[in-house]
Amino acid sequence: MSKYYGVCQKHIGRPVRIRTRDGRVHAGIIKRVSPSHVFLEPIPKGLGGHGYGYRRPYGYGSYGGYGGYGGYGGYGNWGIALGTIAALAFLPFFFW
Amino acid sequence: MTIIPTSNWLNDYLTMKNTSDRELIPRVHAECLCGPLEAYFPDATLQDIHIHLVDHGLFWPHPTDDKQIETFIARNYTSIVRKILEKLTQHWDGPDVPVFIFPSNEKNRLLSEHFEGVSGVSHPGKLFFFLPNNVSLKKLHALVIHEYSHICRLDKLGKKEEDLTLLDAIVLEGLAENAVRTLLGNEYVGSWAKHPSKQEVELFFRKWIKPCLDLKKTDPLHDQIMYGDGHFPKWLGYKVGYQLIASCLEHPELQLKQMHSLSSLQLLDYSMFAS
Repeated sequence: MSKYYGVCQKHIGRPVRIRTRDGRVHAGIIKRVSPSHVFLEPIPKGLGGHGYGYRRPYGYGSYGGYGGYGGYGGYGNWGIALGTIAALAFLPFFFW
Repeated sequence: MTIIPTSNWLNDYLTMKNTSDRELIPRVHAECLCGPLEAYFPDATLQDIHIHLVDHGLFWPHPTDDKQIETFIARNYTSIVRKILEKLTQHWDGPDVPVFIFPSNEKNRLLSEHFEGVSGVSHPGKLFFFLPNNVSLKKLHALVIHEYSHICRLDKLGKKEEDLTLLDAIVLEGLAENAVRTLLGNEYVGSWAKHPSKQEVELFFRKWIKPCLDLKKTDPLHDQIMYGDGHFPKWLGYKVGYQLIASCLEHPELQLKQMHSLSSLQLLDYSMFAS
């Protein structure tokens, strides 16, 4: 089993930044760990842009639940295969 | 006009989601639909792009969405969107930018009640449309006019996104919905942009907008004012922008195409809110 299983299991609820072997960076709060994957609730970062008046409603001061949104509860966190993790760093709670 | 085909990406999503664990489907959704967009957002992660598009109306994955997506692919909105854009490009002498068309979130109540299920988001140099399977031709026109107006305004303004102010955003939105009014008719203007009383909009401007004209988009207050969060009236920035540009258009010498090139402060000076 990946060494990251124990690390993630111990730190559920903590914000992390994970780099995977394909060079991608993923950031979020650890919600759950399975023997094969860690699931993050992503931390949104605004990309600007100009819409049509529609914007998905947020919770107050938070992302409002990436998975729970739309009533698909338990279905929507960001899964990362533990075997693809190249590096994991914990982030301070206040960084965003 | 360069419309980038998305049907292969959508087909990849349909294939991959049916062989993936249910809890990995959001990631599959992001990989298939936003992975090919990474080159268009060089400073963003795949996660950021995914959240950004979902926030602006991209459908959220669901185990039973196959039919919606298959119907969307069969609808082939590409040719009609291209036709509308080609007319607008000539009309406004606007730039050719890559355009992406995706299914919208048909399950979102806010989107279906206030926007007939359509949405879009424009960035300098790229344009995204989110469409349901039952969009009316007029509504599609209204959306394309609105978003392509943003592309023309951003192109002529030439500012970096991070330098845009609240006044720029209000003017941008006002130009877009007034373009809809001018080209299609008053009944196609989004209900969120209209307000029954001009006097009240004037009051909104003096009370909330005037002290914050220079606010940058990175300030949380910027979007609270634009969308009308908390104690602000709903779609405050959009409503003020609509009246601002409508009042500019009362000057017979001003036309939208020419207004794309004027600074936001110049347009404010032409408007009913000039001090």
